[in-house]
Amino acid sequence: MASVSIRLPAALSSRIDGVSCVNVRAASVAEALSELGQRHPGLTPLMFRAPGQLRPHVHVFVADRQVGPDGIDSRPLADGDELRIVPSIAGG
Amino acid sequence: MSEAERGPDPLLGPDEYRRYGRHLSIPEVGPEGQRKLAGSSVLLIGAGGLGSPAALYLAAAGVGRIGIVDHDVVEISNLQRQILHDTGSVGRSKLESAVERLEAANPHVGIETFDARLDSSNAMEIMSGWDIVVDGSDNLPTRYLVNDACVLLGIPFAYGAILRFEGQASLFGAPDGPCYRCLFSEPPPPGLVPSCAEAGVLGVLPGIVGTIQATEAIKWLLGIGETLEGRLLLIDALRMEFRSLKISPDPACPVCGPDPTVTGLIDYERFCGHEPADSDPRSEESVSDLEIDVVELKRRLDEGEDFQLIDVREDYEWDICNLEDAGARLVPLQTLPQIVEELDEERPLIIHCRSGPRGQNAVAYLRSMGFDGAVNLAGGILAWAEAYAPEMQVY
Repeated sequence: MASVSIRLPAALSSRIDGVSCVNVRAASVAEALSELGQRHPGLTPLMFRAPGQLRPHVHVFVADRQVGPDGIDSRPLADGDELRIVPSIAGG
Repeated sequence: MSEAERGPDPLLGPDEYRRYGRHLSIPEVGPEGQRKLAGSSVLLIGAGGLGSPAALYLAAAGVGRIGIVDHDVVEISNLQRQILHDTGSVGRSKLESAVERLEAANPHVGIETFDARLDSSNAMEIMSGWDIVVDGSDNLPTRYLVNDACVLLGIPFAYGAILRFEGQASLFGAPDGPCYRCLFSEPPPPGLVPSCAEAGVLGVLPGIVGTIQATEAIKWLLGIGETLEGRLLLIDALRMEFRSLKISPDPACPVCGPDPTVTGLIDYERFCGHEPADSDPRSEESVSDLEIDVVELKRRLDEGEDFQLIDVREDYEWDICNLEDAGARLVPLQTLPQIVEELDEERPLIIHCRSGPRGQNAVAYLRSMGFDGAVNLAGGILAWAEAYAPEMQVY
């Protein structure tokens, strides 16, 4: 298990009283996202189209690199890693 | 301008040498780069929050030909961030306002305007022949349209998007780089991602992001530096953090991949809203089935009919004005999925927002969840205020 932080964009943090960073302990990206969903159930329908399946407009980056669908389960995490959730936004 | 007035340089007149002096002093620009800019063209999609600073700086920089596509009029609520327009422009065409401002900023720049809402029927014609596009649109259908048209035409575009204190920027559609669809292959279901109208935006933010887009356009035109091709820049103005994320072309991209399935423009409204990929498509529903007007709402209230009235605006909007006296309950649009199980399937649902669009999204979502009788209040609370509550504070 690694101690990691999850940075949330305004499109999601606005739904959980402005919480923009959540610290969790997890061994993989999937575990980190699962823990996020347990703490903030309101985020789950916004991020996932089905259990474990991120919506196509939502991406996860670790260490500034995109984690593709195959990496959600397998990408290992290390202490201090920062996950960034990046959704599409449309404002202009 | 005659040859005598322009002097010996066919692209830069004597006055322009003085005007662009600070550019001419930069080795990466210099007279040769300035001539390149004078011979270049940029098309701006939208003269709004992002388009305003981008247009002003591109004009000031001496880009020879600037095109602007817009079909809106200036509203007072635009002025907090859309710096091409001023108080005297309220009610006028944004294009008229933009042309006046840009010509005053730099009379050496040629401005072309397209008074149209960009769609699949006009995009290829309007967007052909430009060196680069700056996407300042404010909705997902236009963003996918701009991407697809740029890829099909072989034109890169400087991407920017904003929400609250956060922005994104990139350069999409460059020959070896990713396109917008490589990153966001499908749009979110309607209503899941808030717009600036719903969630708000710091007025300064499009100034930051729009100038980044203009910078990327100028670098691309000059062929200097490292553009944002292959990177997504995240801007967090609240923390004043800039983060550059690596993004790659998607080999399965339906537009720019090696085996494209999108080879022409499609119906982007439908792509983004009416048939979300992860919900059952509904069909054969006319607008009249999906909406009621304020007269009908008034009738139902006066006759004491039983229904659930849901306001899908944000908390702060509720504080400005609301229909609490009519029994409205506040459920901000994005929280609908969280409370949908609390709704009574036996009682009719009437949804309203400020002016209508969010209510339409909410109705589409609720119908996809089985609330087949859900209807939107056409025109939202603004229409109600105009008809029955002139004393109501509106915004």
